[in-house]
Amino acid sequence: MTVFRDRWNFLRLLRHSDPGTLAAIITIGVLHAVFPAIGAASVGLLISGVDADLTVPLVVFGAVFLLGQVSSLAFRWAKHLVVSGVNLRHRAEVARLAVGAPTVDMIEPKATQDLFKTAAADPTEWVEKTPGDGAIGALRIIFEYVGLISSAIVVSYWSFWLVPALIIPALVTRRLATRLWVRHYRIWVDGIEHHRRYQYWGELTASRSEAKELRIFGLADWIIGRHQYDMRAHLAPVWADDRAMARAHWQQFAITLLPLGAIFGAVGFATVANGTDVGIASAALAAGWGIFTAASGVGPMMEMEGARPGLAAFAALKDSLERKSEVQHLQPLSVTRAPHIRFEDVHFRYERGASVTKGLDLEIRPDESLAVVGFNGAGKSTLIKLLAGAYRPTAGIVTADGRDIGGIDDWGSHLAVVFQDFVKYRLTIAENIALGRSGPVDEAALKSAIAESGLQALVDGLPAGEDTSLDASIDGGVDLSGGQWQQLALARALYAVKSGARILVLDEPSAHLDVRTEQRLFDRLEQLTEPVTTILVSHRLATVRRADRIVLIDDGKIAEQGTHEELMSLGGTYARMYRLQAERFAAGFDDRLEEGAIV
Amino acid sequence: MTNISKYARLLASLLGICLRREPAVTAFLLAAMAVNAVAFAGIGLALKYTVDSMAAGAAVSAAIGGVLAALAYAADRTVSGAASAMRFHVMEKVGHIEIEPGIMRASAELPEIDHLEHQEYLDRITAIRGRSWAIVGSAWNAVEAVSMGVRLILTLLILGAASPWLLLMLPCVVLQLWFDRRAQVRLKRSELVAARNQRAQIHFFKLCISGSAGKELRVSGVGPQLVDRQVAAAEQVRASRSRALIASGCWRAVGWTVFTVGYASVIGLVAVQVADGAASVGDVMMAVTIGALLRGVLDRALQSTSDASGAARVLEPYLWLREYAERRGLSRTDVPAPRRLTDGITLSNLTFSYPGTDRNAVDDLSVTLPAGAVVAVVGEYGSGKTTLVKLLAKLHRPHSGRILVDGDDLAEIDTVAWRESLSAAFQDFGRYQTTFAESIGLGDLRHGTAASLDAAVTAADADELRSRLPDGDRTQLGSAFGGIDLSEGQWQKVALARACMRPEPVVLLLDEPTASLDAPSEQAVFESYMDRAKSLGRSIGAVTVIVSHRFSTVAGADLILVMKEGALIESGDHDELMRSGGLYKELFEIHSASYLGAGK
Repeated sequence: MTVFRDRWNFLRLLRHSDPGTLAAIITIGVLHAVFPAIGAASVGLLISGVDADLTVPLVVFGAVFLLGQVSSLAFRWAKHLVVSGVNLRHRAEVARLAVGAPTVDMIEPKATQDLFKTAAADPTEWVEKTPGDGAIGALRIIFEYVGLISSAIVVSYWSFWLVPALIIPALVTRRLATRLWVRHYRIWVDGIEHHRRYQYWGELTASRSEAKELRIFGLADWIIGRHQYDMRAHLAPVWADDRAMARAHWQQFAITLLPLGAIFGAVGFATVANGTDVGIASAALAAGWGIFTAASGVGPMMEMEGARPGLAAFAALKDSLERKSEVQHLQPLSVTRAPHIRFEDVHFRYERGASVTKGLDLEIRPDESLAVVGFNGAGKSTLIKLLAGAYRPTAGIVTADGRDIGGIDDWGSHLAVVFQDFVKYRLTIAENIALGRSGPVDEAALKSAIAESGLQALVDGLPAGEDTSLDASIDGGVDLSGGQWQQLALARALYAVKSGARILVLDEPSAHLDVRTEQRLFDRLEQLTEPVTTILVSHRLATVRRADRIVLIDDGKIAEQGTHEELMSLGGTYARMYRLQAERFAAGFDDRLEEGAIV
Repeated sequence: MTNISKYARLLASLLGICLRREPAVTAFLLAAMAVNAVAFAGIGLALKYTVDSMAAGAAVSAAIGGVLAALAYAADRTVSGAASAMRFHVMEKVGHIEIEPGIMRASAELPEIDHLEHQEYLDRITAIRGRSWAIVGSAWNAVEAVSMGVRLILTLLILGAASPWLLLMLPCVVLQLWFDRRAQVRLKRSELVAARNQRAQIHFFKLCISGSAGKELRVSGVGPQLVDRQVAAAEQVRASRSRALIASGCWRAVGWTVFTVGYASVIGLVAVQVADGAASVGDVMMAVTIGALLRGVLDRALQSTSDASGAARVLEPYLWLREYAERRGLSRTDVPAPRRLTDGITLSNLTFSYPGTDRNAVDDLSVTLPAGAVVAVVGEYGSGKTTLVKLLAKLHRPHSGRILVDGDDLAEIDTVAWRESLSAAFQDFGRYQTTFAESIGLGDLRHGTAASLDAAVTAADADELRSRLPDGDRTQLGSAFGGIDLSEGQWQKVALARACMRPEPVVLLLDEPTASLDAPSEQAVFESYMDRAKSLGRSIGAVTVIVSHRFSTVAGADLILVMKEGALIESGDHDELMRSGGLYKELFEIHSASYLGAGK
């Protein structure tokens, strides 16, 4: 029974297809399945009619043959529609599940990400199949039975007792073949970790970032050795099984030959002995072989087997994400000015991780400019994620005008954030900017965002202007340098400001900019006409001096706060950091540009 | 040599390798192809014999014919099943063991790194890396194409012997092939369009599931919009493929119509001859059977010829890379690398430009780096600092000018030996997805010891990191294989430790090695590096070249090189450069102003 339930689960995926496609695949599939049997019958008709007028049998025979071919072409088309249709809905559901999770820490853990990648059903290896493949596999098995039965009907014209004698061995060979392939599949999948590793070692030999070290430290032989080691660890058992599988073909040979030989011999003998029609005998011979071919494919079984992990991953994701995203009663925050924000004894720790934020208290007043500084790993970025609502505190509360931001429906719309790892959309410049805010594109806001972020010169220099695609792999597309991308991300945030966001957050906005560009950037920000609260995170202390207030985060808490002068005279961590940094040249970060992608 | 004969020789040599590596399996595969061809013809002949015997009323002959037909069917199917599995076996085995290492060497053993800037090279290496089985497979496709040809000829012979009229099927077959070709062209054209939308679909999907993009999507609220874009891109792929399948299906249907008309007419002709007594009923059965099977043979013949011609897609890059590696490959010389420096390194009129650019990245640069000196290189973006470092490591070949090491031309010194006497840390270091100890140990594969590992970890200020690793030195690094994910700064410390593994490098190259470190960590690392540089300088005359923005390091160097647009515009120590009032002084003052200026 479990077999049927399993197949039913695959068949249920077909509900994602529209009724038209479904009707097409079923009609075409059934026709396609019965044509071998009809073909065999028409052969019989032809042979019986040899002595008489052959016109009709010949036309029938030709028509059946041609329709058989056409149905196979049509089946390919219908199959494509079904498979791609099911996959399309499946991937959209997976994406919606991810996008619908209210906070980022729900989708960030490694295990969840692995589930997403498995559920993506984007096959790179032969063992991986998509849900659409699985669904069509289950359907194809049904069609195989239709083919089997129709051939059996033709055979039964000669004699009914041949039917079980053919069907049983045909199903037995299929079962044997499937068992062998499923075993083979599992052996292959067992070693997938080694497979990934040897692919990694292979890539390393032509990788850009490792190229210099690879030569200086003479790593070629070592890497090739590791490749060969992991390759053998994965494939040695597979290769051993290849041989076992080839040998096992003897069983299939015997199970095919014995019944088929006996029956074909018997048909030949009995037709003569009983004086029955040669045509019917010929049809029985052709259809007899048809039974064997109808039930021989292991393809559908492998399609279902390969689709299983993706579907299981999707089910697991759905289970865990939907359970965690319980619906709350959310209300919008109806203000048009910057709200008053408070962090009250906020704690945050990652699932199974150490605490990052340990009792943080912070007040952010409307329209002030606040700078956040601290060493790597002190919790600066976590603070921003908590403010953005991407993470929810494990203890404590973040409020805006006294209300928990977790309970505010439109909290995102009050924020404009340039994250350190901002998104690079492979779309046009204009689309990249307009994705700062959902809803219809505001052309005026777009124009001023381009101007105020300093992108105008770049846009003017491009053939298609703001409609230039940033996907370098298509015609007319360009790639931007790190600094240009960062300006684009800033433009996106400014677009959100123009659309009403009143809290502007900049997380290391100048990491890819040289000192002069950075100066100009901050000059522009000071000239913003909109009254906004600005929160700047930076490790370049020279850039934070201008802020109204500086807070230093150390070990997940606010350690020092005040103006630059106050903190310098305090003589604490900030002052020490500042003096260390003052010894650095601020001329720029790297000269990777001389090799890399510039427009 | 023409391309065809080049490919033919390559295919022959690939088959030779298969025969040497897997003699039994290769012999089996060749035998299987022969058996298949015979069994295939046997099906038609046996059925003819059966039907003829039935019509003639010979019961025993009919029974024997039936058994033979069953034998031919069973043999054809079993042998081709076993052969296809074993064929993949031999392709994979020979590919991974014999061919893949060669492909890896064709990139890893090129002495320079210019090829990574070379699009022609990159396209080819991506086309074949990890696909060595396809290279071996192309040899087998060629064999299969030949065997299909034999099968076709055999079939035609049998048909022709029964009745020459049956050969009329051949022109129909050819026409059908032509239509099929048209259909394939149509499909291929649609793939180009589909590929773009497919990439877009994957791009949006990845953004939707990504945690780092997720923050931004939640703030801007555009997540659902991205899902819509993903669906739209997928719909485009689906629709364009569907259209292509319909169009190509129509071409193929026309082809099959032509074939069917010919097929049915030929059978009709034979049937007419049966009435005349010139042919038997069995001939009709055979024509029917073989005609129908002929389509299968055709399909596979088509497939294997198109595979064989498509093989150029993997064979061309493979041959190209082999030739490239032969031309540009490592040539060893017998000039040894120095174990210590007495005079130093002299650069004279050194010039280099990247392929595809018209500007010199290093432009007519002449200077002497004295033995034992710490040399700092400063300059703005794209001034050629990194390129200079790479030229010293022989990672690029100068276009003109020379580098003399204690008077010996660096171009003459054996590259492997020279590299063994260097150590280096770069801003774009490798992130090896292996254990902590191995990641660092790579810095000195030959002589590394536990003690040198300890010292290297300390020198890179990575002791604290090491103490926090869950499985100690055997902790797997990087998320690719389930290891711990390090921060940028932590990865950099691992790279720095790696650069400390070699005990006595005569040249130490440090290209912004601390860009991702915190100020305190950076200071600790620099102090230990400088101590080491000075002591190696005293003991073996080692030269240390540092590219850095850290003012105190630069100021403390024995020699400062100031570069601008590839040229050396100033050199000297800190005091000299400050007095001369050039670019160095200007850079220094921008720096001072941003930190020491009068507040807002």
